[in-house]
Amino acid sequence: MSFVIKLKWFFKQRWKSYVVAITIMTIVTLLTMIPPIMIGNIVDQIGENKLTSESLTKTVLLLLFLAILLYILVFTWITTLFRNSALVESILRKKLLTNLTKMTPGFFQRNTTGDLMALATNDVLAIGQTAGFGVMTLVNTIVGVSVVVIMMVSLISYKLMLAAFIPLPFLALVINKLGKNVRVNFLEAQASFGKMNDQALESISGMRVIRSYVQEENDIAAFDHVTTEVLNKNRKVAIFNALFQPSISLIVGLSVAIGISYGSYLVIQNEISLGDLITFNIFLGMLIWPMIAFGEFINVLQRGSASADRMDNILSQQPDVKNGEVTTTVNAPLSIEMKNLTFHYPGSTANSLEQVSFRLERGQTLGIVGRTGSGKSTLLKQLLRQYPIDNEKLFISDIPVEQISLEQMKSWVSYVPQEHMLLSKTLKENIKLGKPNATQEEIDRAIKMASFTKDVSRMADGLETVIGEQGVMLSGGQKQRVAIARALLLDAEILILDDSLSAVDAKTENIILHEIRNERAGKTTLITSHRLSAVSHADWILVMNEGRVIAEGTHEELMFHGGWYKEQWEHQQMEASLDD
Amino acid sequence: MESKQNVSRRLFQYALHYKFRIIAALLILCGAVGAELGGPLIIQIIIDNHLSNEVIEISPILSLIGLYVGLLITASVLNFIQGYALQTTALRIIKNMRMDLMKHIQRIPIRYFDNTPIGQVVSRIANDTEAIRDLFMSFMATFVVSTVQLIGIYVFLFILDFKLAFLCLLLLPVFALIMYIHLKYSKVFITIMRARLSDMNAMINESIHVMPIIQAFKRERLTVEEFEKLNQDRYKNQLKQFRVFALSSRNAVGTIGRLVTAMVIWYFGSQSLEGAIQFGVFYVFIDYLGRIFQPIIGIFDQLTNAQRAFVSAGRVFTILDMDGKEISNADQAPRPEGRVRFDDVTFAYKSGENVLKNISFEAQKGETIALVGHTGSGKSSIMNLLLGFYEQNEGKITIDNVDVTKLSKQALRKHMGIVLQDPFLFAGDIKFNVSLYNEEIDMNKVKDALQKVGASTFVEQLPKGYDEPVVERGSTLSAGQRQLISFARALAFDPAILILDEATASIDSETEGLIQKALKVVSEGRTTFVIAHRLSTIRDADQILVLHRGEIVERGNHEELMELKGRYHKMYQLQKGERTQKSTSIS
Repeated sequence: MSFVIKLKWFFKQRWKSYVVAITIMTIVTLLTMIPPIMIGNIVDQIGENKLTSESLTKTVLLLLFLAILLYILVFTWITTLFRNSALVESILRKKLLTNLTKMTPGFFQRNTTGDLMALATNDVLAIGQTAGFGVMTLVNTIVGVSVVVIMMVSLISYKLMLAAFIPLPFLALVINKLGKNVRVNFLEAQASFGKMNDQALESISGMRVIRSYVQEENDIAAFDHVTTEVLNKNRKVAIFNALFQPSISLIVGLSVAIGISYGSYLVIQNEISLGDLITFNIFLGMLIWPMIAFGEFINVLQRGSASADRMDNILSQQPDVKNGEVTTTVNAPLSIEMKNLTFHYPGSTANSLEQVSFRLERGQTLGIVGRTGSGKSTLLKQLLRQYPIDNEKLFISDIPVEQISLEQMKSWVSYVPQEHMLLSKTLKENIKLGKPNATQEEIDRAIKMASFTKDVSRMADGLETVIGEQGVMLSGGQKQRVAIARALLLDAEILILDDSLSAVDAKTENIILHEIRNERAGKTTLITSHRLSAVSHADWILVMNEGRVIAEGTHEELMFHGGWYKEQWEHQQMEASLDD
Repeated sequence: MESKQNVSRRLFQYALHYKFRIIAALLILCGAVGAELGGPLIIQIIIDNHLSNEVIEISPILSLIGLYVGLLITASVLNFIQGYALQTTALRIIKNMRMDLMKHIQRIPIRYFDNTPIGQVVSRIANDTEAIRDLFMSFMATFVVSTVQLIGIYVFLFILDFKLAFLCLLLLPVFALIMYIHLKYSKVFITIMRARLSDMNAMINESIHVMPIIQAFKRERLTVEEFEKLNQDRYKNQLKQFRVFALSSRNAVGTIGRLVTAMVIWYFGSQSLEGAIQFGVFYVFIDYLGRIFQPIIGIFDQLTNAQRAFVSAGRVFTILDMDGKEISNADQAPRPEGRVRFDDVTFAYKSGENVLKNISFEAQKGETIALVGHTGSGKSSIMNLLLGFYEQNEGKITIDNVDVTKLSKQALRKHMGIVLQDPFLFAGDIKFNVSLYNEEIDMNKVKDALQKVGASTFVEQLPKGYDEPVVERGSTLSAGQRQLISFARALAFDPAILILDEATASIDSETEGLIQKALKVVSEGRTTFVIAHRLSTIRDADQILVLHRGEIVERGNHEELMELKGRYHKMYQLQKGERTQKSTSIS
């Protein structure tokens, strides 16, 4: 039932199409009753010597006409009904992606990529199947069984019908029982398949160890063990699979046997004619599919309902960060200020930022340094508004950030993430990401600022080079520079560089930073880096450790006071000399 | 990728392995089909010989019904046996194929695995063979069975009425034509549908990964629009596919069935106008005709699915065709003393890019040789050559004056031990991770080895001690603990030559002390090569080789190299600096 409730909006929208399809299906079922009746009639007419060539021609013509009519009707209901299943799939897919684009990192932590992908592939398909095939099986069962029963009772004999139906409940029972067994054993077989998968994964990942210790033969033997397990589990499934068809034939055959023997008796008693008996037998055969269809329906519905629940759960989630109730319009970000900001990631108990304060005026550059995990990125992410924060802690132009609309905030900020995050498109499309209508001139300038011009000229297709999934065609340093060009193209008020020069050599880094300083005069920049030379020119530098600011000042001040910054600086200078 | 014929031939060869089983199953299948189709004949006899009479007796009818039920049960039993036999044969074939694949994978040079994502190889072993399994299963269960049924039905039709049966043969080319048209058109649409679906999945996947960027660059709407293009394309092709399906397939087959039924009625009806006909034959003819369509549809469905399995089979055979070295038995391999010599060895992973250049050194029995240098300086390549994972391009490597290329890989490695930088732990308990599959290493030896390397303290504190299962590659253990276990593994195997790639992961000073001690214990009496990241651990090494860009730039013991005041000295100072820093920044 949950399926219908969760997809109420869809059925509401498409009810007309369903009514049309179901009506036609019913008409089709009724019309398919005609040929068996005709066959019976002909047999009786021949028996009574009443058949004329005229009536025969009429019957045959009627049957031919019926065949063509049915062809058209069946075509109509199939296309009408199954269109819904395609439609619901495409609507759900769009809804899903639209919803994902509204979600912040917290959501993607709660729901792994694997889960979301399973939703997009398996669950969407399962729902589509239920909305099409599922509805078909339900209608087949209800209409099919009732039409046949009505025909048997009204045209032939209710006694014969009741007698022949005795074995049929067993059919439902057997299908149900076997189905359950297949499912249970299938799950076990799947589990053993999973184990085999794991074993193969171990063998391949541990290849060096296995070969070094000359354990190849033993490893093969271990694999033999798990594949044998897979074989045995699947053999069990095969038992029940192989039982399916024979059991159905047996039960239906018993029904036919009863029908023939009791039917013969009724023929002797002159209660029914021989033609009636033949018609009845063909009717019996028409019950097989509706019976099987019922089993299928239950199966499909169960899967569809589970999928609809999962889908609904994701679609009903709200973004973690929303626009505040009161929004103030701010024309330009004249300053950025944090006042004792403390922050922890959702689901974590430890604070990732503790009592962080700083103030940055428009046009200034802030450098943030510290060891891995000290909170540098976390600090920057606050400006991207990815996580909810306490009120009155972060101010832009002295207005609390929660009073500024997310759209406005985003329009100021340009961002180069730690993981370059490129798309599997061309270089140009990647760089133009935030400004689709950028001119070639602007693009070239951004590329030059990112010190990427030479690299582009060396590529076979230049800017039209497709960079592959996650930029596999590019080196680490190239990927970072594309990400920088992408951000610089926006020429935004606030530029965030989150350790985005780590794979670029020191010389190129210097050039890029120099370009940025020149071109972005009067605009605000925030940089985190492992390499201290990247922040040494900043107007203000924060040294972070375990979420706290442990030292701050200009490069000269920090060098003067000594401590982590100075040691690290000297260490990096020495390391640099080793690389020559 | 191989041609389709070639793939079919090789798949067929796998099946041939079970030819007797398959032939037996096919014979049973023929019996089942015979019994199945005998049923309607009995009904025909009932109708023609009894029910058409003026005076009808019930008892002969009942005995015929008894026979009918008998045939029914026989058919069901035989059908079950053949169904089970054919399906399990398919399963056995796949098991053989999987084993062949796994055996071959152990023969393939390590180079393949260094250049191929692990997931891809695993997918060949598991998923591709699974797709082939589906092909075999459905081929056996549906295609073969449907074909035999179809032949059976025609045989019976011919027995009943030769002329009409002959006419019904015309159905086959008609069905073949419909099938051809159906496949031709639906293949186009199905291919596009599948491609769009995988495009969309790739796009969702990518979007999830780069969502912060999509949002920061305000691309949400454009992303959805781009997605909708794919989505709509799939939708349109899906509708077309439904149309093709609704025009051909079941609907067409059913319609032809109705047309043929009309023809049969006309045939028998007009015969009756000329003389008496047998109603039973008329009935049973219609019954048989009704049975033709299910196998036809079955064959239909199979043809569409076969395509994908062929692609998978091609990929599996590609791996099976790769060159590999036989695994030889090394139980009798003599234990070397452990004199290792590199003579002017040059090596490149990719031709033209030498990662080792003219490397020469000699390690005497029982010496400890340390290799130091930056990432990419060639340390790991030396280890790869020594273990025979790769072969040098120039120069010679000897152990006890024997050229290693003359030894089988297994004989070469038999008396070598290895500890990897990221010590690989298998799923299994601690004991298994020390002894692996070696039965000679019993519980006492395991305990002894762990005790000697100083790991027994923490192992015994685990809830199940030595039987504690290692989960997720040992992620519940610390990096140092994992390395100690692999030290114990090396010790338990008692190698003549030991290769240690020291852990770089953050290890606290206590564990580091443990590892240093363990290193001393393990290297005792063996020729030991240490790839050192922490220079403090190798101060006692007999020889230290400093590598830089594939060349040995400095060599000597710690004191000598410190005096030299070159690269080693600098690196040593740098690391010392790091240490003091760690302690100051904490305070």
